[in-house]
Amino acid sequence: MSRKPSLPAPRRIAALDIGTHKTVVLVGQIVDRRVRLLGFGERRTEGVVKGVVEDLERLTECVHHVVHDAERSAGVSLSEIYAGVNGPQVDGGRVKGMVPVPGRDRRVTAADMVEAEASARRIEPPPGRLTLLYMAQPTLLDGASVANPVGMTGERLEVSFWRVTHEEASLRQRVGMINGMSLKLRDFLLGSHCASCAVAAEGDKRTGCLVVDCGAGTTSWILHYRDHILCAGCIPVGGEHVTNDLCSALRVRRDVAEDLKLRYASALHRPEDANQTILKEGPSGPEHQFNRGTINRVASVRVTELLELVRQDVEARVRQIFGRDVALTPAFLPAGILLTGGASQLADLPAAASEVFGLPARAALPVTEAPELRKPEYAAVVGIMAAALVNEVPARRAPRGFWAQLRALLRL
Amino acid sequence: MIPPFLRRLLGLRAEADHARADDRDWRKLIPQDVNTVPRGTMGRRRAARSWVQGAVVLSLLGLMAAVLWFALGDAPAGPAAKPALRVRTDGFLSPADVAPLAFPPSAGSGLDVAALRQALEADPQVLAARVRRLADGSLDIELRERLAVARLETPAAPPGWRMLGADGVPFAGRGYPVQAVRNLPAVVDLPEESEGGLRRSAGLELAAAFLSAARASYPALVADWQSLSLRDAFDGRADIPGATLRVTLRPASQPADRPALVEVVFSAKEWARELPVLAALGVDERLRAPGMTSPAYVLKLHIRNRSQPGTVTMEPRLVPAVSR
Repeated sequence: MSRKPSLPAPRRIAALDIGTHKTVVLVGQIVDRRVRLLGFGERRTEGVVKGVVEDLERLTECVHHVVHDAERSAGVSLSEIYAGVNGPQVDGGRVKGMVPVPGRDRRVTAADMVEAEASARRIEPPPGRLTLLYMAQPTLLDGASVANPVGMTGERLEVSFWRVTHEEASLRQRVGMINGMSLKLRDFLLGSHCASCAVAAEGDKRTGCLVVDCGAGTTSWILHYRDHILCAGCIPVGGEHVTNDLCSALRVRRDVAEDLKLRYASALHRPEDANQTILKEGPSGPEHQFNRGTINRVASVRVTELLELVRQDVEARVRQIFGRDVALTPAFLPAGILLTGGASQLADLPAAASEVFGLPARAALPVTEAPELRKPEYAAVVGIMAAALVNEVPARRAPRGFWAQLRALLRL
Repeated sequence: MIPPFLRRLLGLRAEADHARADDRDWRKLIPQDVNTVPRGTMGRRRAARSWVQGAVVLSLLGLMAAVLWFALGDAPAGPAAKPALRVRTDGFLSPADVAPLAFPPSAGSGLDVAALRQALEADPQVLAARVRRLADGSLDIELRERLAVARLETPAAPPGWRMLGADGVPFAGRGYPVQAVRNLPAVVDLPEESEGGLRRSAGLELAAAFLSAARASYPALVADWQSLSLRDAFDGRADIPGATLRVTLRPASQPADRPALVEVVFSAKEWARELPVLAALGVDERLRAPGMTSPAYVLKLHIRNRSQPGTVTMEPRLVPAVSR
């Protein structure tokens, strides 16, 4: 007798992304293992500079407004929320647990895996930091990477994680802020991991890719290698630095510099840009006159520096994991670099990234059913929803048994 | 969320593990103290919105309940709406008997459950009624019936049974089976004012009290009673000298090997004292005694004191019956 698979009951999930530039809250409902968007709230963030909270009261007020907007938009009252974290307070490091495989036949059991994982998790994070989550890395059996070692024979089992930690004080602040809004914090999710959930396809993750989430105040990245998350990091430099540089170099107001960046700036400086003059209209006729070459030179210098910082950070982390220098080549990361986030809309950024990393790079948009959210600046919050969905509704198991596999085969 | 041990047993390793991790896990070290009411102006607005939503929902629910209540409870049913009846009774009335009571032609176009209850209780056979309209539109009627202690028998009565309740109220015995009616004693020689009708009278009340007491205490005696005559009961005025209750026995109840007892005469005033005397009298032995030569006898349980007309002296005696 065939049984109809039971579907999980519809549940509401909410995602909060506090960025340097804007704060977004999404409200969705889980229907048949998918998220149906119910509501949306967005405001310019106040009280955060380069990913660091400087004025908690203003930030609380701002986030509260966004939550209120999202609730009104969705027509529901929220009680729980997932929050993304990013910024310089977030750090990561590799933790490794190793156990010798006991027994005469040296066959790895589930208990060996449990013990190896427990030994890895016993390693304490640095003082003043709290663990947010663990990201699984390839399991090694006698030095060879295996997907699932249970049942295999070997002598030494190594299990490692990329452990993400956060400064305790600021984490307490965030939990208190969210609890003060009558919301329970369901969990913290890593912003860069969420962005990769939103923009990277399973094939990209399987082959290996670097997802770079270019925000206004910070740039976070995460490295997928052979279907695992190898490492993640964050650079306290973002799109606002380009705006600041343009302000200083061109001696214009911030809003003018932002407009110039969005409309004319490029991440690549080409000699022919020097021949172009941009007339910036003011309220009473032409107000400023700019050379596009100057704009692009300023932007490209900052962007190149940013990308160099990312590359150095990635290489340092990879070196820490492998114990040697590993070149970021297309062989290492066949899927290349995926650029997302609000600052990734800068023209020619993929080309600049490709030049700096020596890898293919492309701009990536979040995959979502809501067309208004298919913009790079919403990659993190859409990803929070996707990661929260995985957290709430585990993936279906592969069919087991002859008939189930046959049915799956015929369905293909 | 799959527990970590289950994930491991299934050979699953999550890409990002949100399960409780180590001793420095934030979930362990940062307790969440969620405010019931959000803080600040915005919090109050959010809370108010939440309350308003709740209040609106509650109001709508209340409105729906009220509409339903009035629709099912007191609102008159339309002329075309004749709901199904579910009748529960402790007597003999059937839904077919109740329907004319519930929906009389004179009730007009509408009928509510309170009026329905009154209409049912107006019938003498019904002691009390409880009427509810159910969610499916049908009517649930629960009846407590007035049970008969005797049947009324008059030549001028309209067709159908006339029964007498234990409280002296006459009623039409709808639904009574023929055998049950035949087993009841008949009250005959009714006072003129109750002849042919169903009006209550002192005579009927006296007969009802007498028969219900006899049934309750001496059912074996009553089973042999064919009729109770109120001819000499003076319409229940028991103080009148010579007022009697005359009980005729069923001929079939008398053995053939002794003289028959055809009638028992009770005093209308002292019948309550006479009933136990009759039960203890041993009439059968007395009738078989030598010297009982008449074919039929009347048992008189008292003798009228002619010198003191208001008093009755208990003196049971068998006298030969004479045909009237």
